[in-house]
Amino acid sequence: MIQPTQIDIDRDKGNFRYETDYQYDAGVGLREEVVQYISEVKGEDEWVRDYRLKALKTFYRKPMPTHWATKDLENIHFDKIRYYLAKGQKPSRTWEDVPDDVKETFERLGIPEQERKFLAGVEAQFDSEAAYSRMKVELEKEGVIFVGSSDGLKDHPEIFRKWFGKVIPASDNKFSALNSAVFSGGSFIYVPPGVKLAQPLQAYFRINAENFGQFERTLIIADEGAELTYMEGCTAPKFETATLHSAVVELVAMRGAKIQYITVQNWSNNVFNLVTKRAMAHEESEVRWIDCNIGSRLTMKYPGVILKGRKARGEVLSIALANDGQHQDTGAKMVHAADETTSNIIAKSISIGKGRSSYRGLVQIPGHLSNCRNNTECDALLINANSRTDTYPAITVRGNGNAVQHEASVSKLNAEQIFYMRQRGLTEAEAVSLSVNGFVNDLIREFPMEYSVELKRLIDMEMEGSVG
Amino acid sequence: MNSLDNGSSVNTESVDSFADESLFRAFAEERSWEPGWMADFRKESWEYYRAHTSPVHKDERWRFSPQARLSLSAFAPPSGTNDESTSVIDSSEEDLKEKGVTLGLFSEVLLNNPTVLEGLSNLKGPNLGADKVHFLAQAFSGHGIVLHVPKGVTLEKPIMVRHLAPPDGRVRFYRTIMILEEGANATLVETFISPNNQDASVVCSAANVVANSNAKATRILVQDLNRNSSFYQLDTKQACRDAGVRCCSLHLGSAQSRFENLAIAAEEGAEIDLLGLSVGKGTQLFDQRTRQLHLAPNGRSDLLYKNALLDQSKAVFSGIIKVEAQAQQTDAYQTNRNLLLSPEAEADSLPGLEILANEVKCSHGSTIGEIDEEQLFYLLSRGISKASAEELLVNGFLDEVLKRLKNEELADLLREHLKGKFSR
Repeated sequence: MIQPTQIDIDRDKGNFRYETDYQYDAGVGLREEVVQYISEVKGEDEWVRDYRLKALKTFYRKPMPTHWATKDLENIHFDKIRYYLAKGQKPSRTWEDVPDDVKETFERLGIPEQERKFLAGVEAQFDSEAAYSRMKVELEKEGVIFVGSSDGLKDHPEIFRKWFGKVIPASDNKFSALNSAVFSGGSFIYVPPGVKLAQPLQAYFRINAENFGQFERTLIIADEGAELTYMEGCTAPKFETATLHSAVVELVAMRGAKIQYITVQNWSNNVFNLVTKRAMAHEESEVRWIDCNIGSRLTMKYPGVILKGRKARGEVLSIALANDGQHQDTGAKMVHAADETTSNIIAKSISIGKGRSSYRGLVQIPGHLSNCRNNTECDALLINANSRTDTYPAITVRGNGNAVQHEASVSKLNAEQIFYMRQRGLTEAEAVSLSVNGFVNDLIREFPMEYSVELKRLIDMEMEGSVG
Repeated sequence: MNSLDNGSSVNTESVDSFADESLFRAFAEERSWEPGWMADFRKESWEYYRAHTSPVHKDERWRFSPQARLSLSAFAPPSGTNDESTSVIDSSEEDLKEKGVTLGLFSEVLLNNPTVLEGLSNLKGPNLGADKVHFLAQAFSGHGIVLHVPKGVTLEKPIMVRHLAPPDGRVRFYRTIMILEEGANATLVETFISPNNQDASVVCSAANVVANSNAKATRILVQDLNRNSSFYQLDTKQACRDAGVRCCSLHLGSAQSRFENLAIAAEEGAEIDLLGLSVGKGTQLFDQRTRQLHLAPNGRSDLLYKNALLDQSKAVFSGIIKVEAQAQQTDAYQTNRNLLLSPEAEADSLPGLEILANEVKCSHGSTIGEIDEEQLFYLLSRGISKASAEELLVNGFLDEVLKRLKNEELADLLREHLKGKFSR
């Protein structure tokens, strides 16, 4: 069933070099000293260090989840990975070093000049001070805390310690344990009661921080009645030397709060992207994950919502696109833990060439609850004869007045549609692209405008060469 | 409940009487009249059983299943003596001999007409989790039914078989071998019942249904054992070119049952219908695993499993549609519907798809819900009591499956079994 064979990928794509003379370098491999070192460099409190060390032990103890997951996980060599690259290091490449096809991608996606350099790794961080400093001041005025993970634990323990590692315990799975041991980077956000942020927060708004870290750790708390939208990643391809990314993202929505978390993942296709994302939704709150996976070699990501308070609502909208050599193993988890909670999952996947996309879902409604609802829809589109798609949902329901429905369908491109468009003078590639965009259109509309435009262009580009 | 357990209920798993060499030898000795290839096959299967180890990690194929409830370890393996056949064949079809049809109990056919069963070792089990139990069925089978219909022969009337469960504390392995040659057409209905209401025993039915080109096979299984029993149904169905296989399982009885169904669309144009109906009461468990495997183009498979769950009963449905890359133009559907009739009932549903071909139509749907309030209100407002209204609605829910049989006679037969199952 599962092919453990090495996927042949273009490794040159990720072939950027960082200077090896790091100011802070934890070396290669994962040992207790490495974790101690990271904690020391970051100047963390004792409890954080203990938490990391305990998590490391959990990581050693946990088996690889290959009894259900792809055997490709066995190709991760934990002892060959660099677990910490400190801030202060600067990448040595110049704009001239960036391959032409990457530059062309930026050009075609219409990425602003400043961002291009940042995304290509020419600048350690997007120089956005001028553009965003005004916004930062305003956020502070509202009492919003928006800091890096270590700063959050150091400077605001009274706010973050209470929830840190509570939504996703270190022992949740092998990779959450790994992240808990070596995390660095990511964002800790606190939005005070009643504050509704009109502008979405973006990871690269923050000044002087490690952004898309290898083991980023994010914790977002929206206090009573607060509202925010957070966007992670961007549509342009990111080029990385590290082959393992394992993030942990925890969201806490207090009573009546609303959190929308948007991810666009487009790692280069030698990256294992193994992410744990989960939200805790209290009474009458609403959490929405919008998740789009286009890059990476293997992505395993199942954003979840624990519906803990009465009338809480959880939603996952997911788009996955798997091209040659890629496996997008994505899905959603909805754990109902209070009466009258509702959840909605809409997942669309596209498999191109030899790409494989999988949907894995979990919906749980235990016996003591009543009047819970879940709706799940998964649609898969297969473009080529050797594309592959899988669907593995798991639904458990008991109790009173609960209803769950799950539907999934697999289809190929509609030949009539293609014919109609060809007849109007569109090339086959254009027609296929349009058709695919139509397939995901209703989900893409949920993205902020500039993202949806970029996403559409990106899908166009991925579709190139997949026909004929 | 068990005869072997001497009070040490904690560690029953460690005493595996099925792996006991002397017991197996004794069993084989009593069946020394069998052809040599059968003895070899039994020995080989038994050795596989002994060598087979459970996976180190949690086995996905047992997800949501309270596996311990389905354990055989507290039961005694069958022995030739005092294990008289209690199966009755009822066929009103005439001239079976003249038509060249082989119909008989498994041991009878093995004795009188062993050539029909020579391919037995090629008939594989579903292997959807209970692989070990299937090895046991191959090693210890002494019961069951064999139906072989030669080329072009149509049996107009269904063949009815009634099996009686073994005595208290025993396991009995039944094999059902149904082979239809080219263009043949036959229907087999098997009913499993208990001799009384107390005996706790295990029935394991391992069936292979093979429909060769253009053949049409229909197989119905009715399981209405008493509430102390366990039941295993391990079925493999295979449809060859332009052949059709239609199967329906009705599960009403037993404390716990596990049914595994592998349906293979092996050649072009094969059509498979898999139907399932279960009604759970008390703490009954129905553990259902299915796999629709498409190996060739232009196949069609359609699965509909419905469960009506009362009291604290529980149903687990786990199904996969697998379409191989060469099986283009496949239509495959899978639907699992669960009706929860009590707040304590539980339904787990794992509908799955693995699609490697692109020119296909595949979908699955799964719902878990309760009786529609409006429909109930409508009936109540017409002066129908709540109990009867519920029964009417549940019967309506289940009837969709029976209609899919496309045979009113068989549907009526099953309706007869369903009668009175909802009286609380």
